[in-house]
This record gives sequence, structure tokens and C-alpha cells, in this order.
Amino acid sequence: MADSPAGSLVPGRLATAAGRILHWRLDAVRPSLRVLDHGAPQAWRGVRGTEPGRRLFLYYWIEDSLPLMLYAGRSGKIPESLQVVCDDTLGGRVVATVLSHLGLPHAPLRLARPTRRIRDVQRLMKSTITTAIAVDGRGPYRKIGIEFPRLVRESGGLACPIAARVDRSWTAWPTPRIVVPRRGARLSIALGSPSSAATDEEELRLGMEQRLSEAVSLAESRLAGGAKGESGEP
Amino acid sequence: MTQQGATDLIVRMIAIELETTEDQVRTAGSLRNDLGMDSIAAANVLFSLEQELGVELDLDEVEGLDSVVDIAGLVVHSQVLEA
Repeated sequence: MADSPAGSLVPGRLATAAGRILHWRLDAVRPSLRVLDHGAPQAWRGVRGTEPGRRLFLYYWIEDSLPLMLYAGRSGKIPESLQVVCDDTLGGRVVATVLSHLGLPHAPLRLARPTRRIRDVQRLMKSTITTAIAVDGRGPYRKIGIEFPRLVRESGGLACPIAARVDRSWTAWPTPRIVVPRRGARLSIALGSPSSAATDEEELRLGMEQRLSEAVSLAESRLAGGAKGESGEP
Repeated sequence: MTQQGATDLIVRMIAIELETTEDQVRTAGSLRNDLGMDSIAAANVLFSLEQELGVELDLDEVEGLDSVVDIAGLVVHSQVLEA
């Protein structure tokens, strides 16, 4: 598939078609979605209060991509400009298409050609915009590779885990597993605690995994806990 | 800067980035497989190289950057060397 020299992904016909279908489904679901983000706005203010002005990376498991983008897109729920990293796999291109419909910019990470990948990594390192990234997009799933902690550290950034769980969903495709909420679903959002700078990369990586797992558990427990903190359509 | 000078500079920068010796960089067949150079390390090396040489290297014209020879070729292509 092609990519543009300017550094954005060109989705191709298949990804464009799949992205349109998914966006149509998400648009249909949005009005009936009930959002449980109790505590998330306060957690966000807490993150920003402790490290004002510092570059922020929001990281999550790939399966949470669409619910999170639904939460972030057009809603103002995440109160600052955001770019979402999309790779040039079919899944990445589809998500990029959905993002364009939701009005969210993407930052490309082109894996197919090593030199373009290096340039994209350089752009990510130099950027100052808050960056959202699925940390297990290429598998193994629910594992963080060593490059993400290195990217955060080299960028002088702060990594904050975010999780999205829905109680009624279907799976767009199994690998990577992409969850699409159903009508009337409840969407639970949890922001975890940011990772502090560690000198040891493996220590930083494990800490990030643990914090993201805690955020997922928090989102799941809120979902199990009922309607407290519902804030309506994203 | 001559081609030899560029190669020496590249070797030195890679050795610093990967925290290894210049000899190991010179003898590595594959920077990724032999020395573990990932895209973050490669990006850092290119940042340093561009800063040192004062040019933006043209990555569109090369397929890979997995050896000192590849990177030296990139520098040559970017026409920053003396004839």
C-alpha cells in the first residue's frame, strides 16, 4: 500500500471501506452509549497538575482503541489537542480512517519501510502534542515492548495509562482484537497513574504494564459497580 | 569532510548511542541483529548526524539503515562530502 511523502497514511480501498462501516456503526451507537468516567476528569487534572506543560503519552491496549477514540472524539472529554499513532498495518489504517471521521488527527508509524519508520519515530520524539498510542498493536497482546518506554524517556515525556471497557460489544476482527460497542452499552473509562522516570528501562516497562493493568481493573470494577458516575453520550 | 571522516563519525555516534565499542560497530554485519539498534536508537543517531553535518539526510532514497555502510551511503547520497 502507498503512503504519502508528507508523512500521513493513505488508507487504501479496503481500509477506507472498513473505516467507513465502523464509523457508521460508532455514529449509530454514540447516542445510546452511557459513559462511566467517574473520577477521570479529576485524575486528568491531577496528571496535569503534577507535571504542567510536560509532554504526555496516553497509552492503552489495542483492543480499547475504538471505545477510547469514541470517548475522545468531538466530546472534549480529553481537554487538550491529541494525536493518535497509527501504524501502516490494515488495522492501523482502518483506525486512521475512523479517526478522520471523528475529527482526530493521527501520527503515522510506517513499519513497512525501515527508513520511513525512523523518520516517523523522529517526528514522534520531536512533537510536543499529547500522543495516544496502543502499546501492543503489533503483538504480543497485553505486553509492552521496550521501544515505547524508550520513546517516552527520550522525549522527556510522561506516560499515562488509560483504559476503556464496555459491557456490550462485538469484535471487528480478532487479531488484533478491536472492540466495537453495541447500542445501549456502558463505556467505562479509567485513567491510571503516570509512570515516573526510571533509570532502568525494564523497570520502566514493567511499571507501565502494571499501571495499565490497574487502569483496566479499575474500569472493569466501575462497570461491574453500576451506574454511579454516568455522564451520558460521549 | 571526507568519506572516511564521515564513516569514523558514524561509527563513533553509533558506539555512543548503543554504549558499545567502535570496534564492535565496525565489525557488526547487522546493527539491529548484532548490536540491538532499534528505531529509537537509529533516530537518535540520525538526529546527531544531521546536527553535526548541518544537513537533513534524505531517507526516501535508501531502503535500510542496518549497517555503517548503509548510513555512510546515505551521507554520500545527501552530498555533504567533499569530492
